[in-house]
Amino acid sequence: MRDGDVIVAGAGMAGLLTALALARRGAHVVLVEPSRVGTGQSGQSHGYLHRGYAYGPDEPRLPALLGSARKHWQGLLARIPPVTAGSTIAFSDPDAVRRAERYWRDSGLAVRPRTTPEWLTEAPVACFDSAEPTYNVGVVLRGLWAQACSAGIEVRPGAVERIEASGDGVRARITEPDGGTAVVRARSAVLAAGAGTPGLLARSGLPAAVQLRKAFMLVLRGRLPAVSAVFPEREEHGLFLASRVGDDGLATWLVSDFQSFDSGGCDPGQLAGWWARRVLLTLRRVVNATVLARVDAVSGYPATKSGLLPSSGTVAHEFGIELLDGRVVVAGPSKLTLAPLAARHAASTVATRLGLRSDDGGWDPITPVPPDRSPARETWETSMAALDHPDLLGRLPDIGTLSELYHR
Amino acid sequence: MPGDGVEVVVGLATEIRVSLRTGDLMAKASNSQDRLLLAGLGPLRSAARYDEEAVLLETVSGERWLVRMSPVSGLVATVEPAVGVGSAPRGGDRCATAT
Repeated sequence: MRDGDVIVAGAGMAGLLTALALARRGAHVVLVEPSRVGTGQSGQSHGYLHRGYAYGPDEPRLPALLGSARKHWQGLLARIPPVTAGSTIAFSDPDAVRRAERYWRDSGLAVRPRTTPEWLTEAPVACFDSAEPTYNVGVVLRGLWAQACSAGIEVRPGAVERIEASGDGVRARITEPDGGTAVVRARSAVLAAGAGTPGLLARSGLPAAVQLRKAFMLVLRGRLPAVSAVFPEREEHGLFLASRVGDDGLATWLVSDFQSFDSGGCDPGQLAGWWARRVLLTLRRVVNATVLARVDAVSGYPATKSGLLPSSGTVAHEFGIELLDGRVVVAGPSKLTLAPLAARHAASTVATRLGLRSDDGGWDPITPVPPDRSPARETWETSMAALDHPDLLGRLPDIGTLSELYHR
Repeated sequence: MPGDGVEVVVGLATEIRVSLRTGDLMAKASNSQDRLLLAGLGPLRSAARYDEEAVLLETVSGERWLVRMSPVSGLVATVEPAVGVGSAPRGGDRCATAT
């Protein structure tokens, strides 16, 4: 006897979108999530909805894919205001900005020339504005969670430990929050567990279809402007910078870069502190000192990047793979922007297998839900260790001190 | 690391190039382009192979750091202060080249 038509492992962005897409096609969906919504990759994201960014000619398929994903986001986010409507792309090499601007225009992406904004130093000598908005991902997750709860999706707290073929369907063994185990049977399963997917595949004896990388995020709080910017020059240490605005009206900056590290189980030592110090040094080069002086607290958290093997890295072209004769779909978008495409692929694959009605209508617009009415949180919204009143203009915090922020 | 002037090539499982000016660690990616393994924190006095998986960096201010790579991914796995670590214990393996 089956407990549902499809099991979706993971209630992040891809899992929620997949579950909703299948529920609206009439499927009985069992959504299994081991912890708070947003604990994984979705809650660690900048919230950029990329349209092209600076991938350049090495990633020729991405602008079309991102454009396709954007149509879904426009529907989903029709009622949600962005944190920033566009992003500043800043270079220190004038030739580089001209090349990038030309590539973006040739790819059909909207760009606007602009002068260097006041919050940057003179170091980035050339900028343009892109039409890449940033969103509070917590608002999106909370809205999707509310939709899932009202769409008849059965939510099972717990972690899918193992999945295997059973009859003409699948059987999932779930560890529940109290330590007990349960078995859920369905005709199909979608694995959208992000960093948890490799372990689940290994325990299930399935191919290693997903690779993980470790990254870090630096979190700055204070009286900061709500901005978003990309510094794409890797030789100069490229950065992403996105903002969130809290209930107190203060902006939080989320800063990361292009580096990723091994995700193995060993203690990374003071790698996080080393990374954070390097990011602070670069920020000091590109951000106006009067703005940096307004930072009241520094925090940070480790983040995970995942992508499908073998051709995935941080910028995968593909986002779904089928296993166990198509009974299991691994949904693995390498970027938040591509989550609707991964969900659409997974839902379409499962719907075909289950003989469900077709539905190309996308998702309903998300309605904002107050934080106290949903368990979904981005990592920056949670309690984090902080270094208060840091001196970011003089002697920077040492590597060991910064590492402590990431270890707590 | 265009125009660095001085870099050190350290032979581990893969060849790693270290800029003595910036401290950046780079490796050749599968598309033959340079991949940044670890953004450096400034000028280095030296960089050398420590063992099969690690590079020992010494800054101009005398700090010494052990950067360990994963043999599986080829990415940086750990960074630790090199306290009590001798310099380049396998000196014969050291491959330092000024370019």
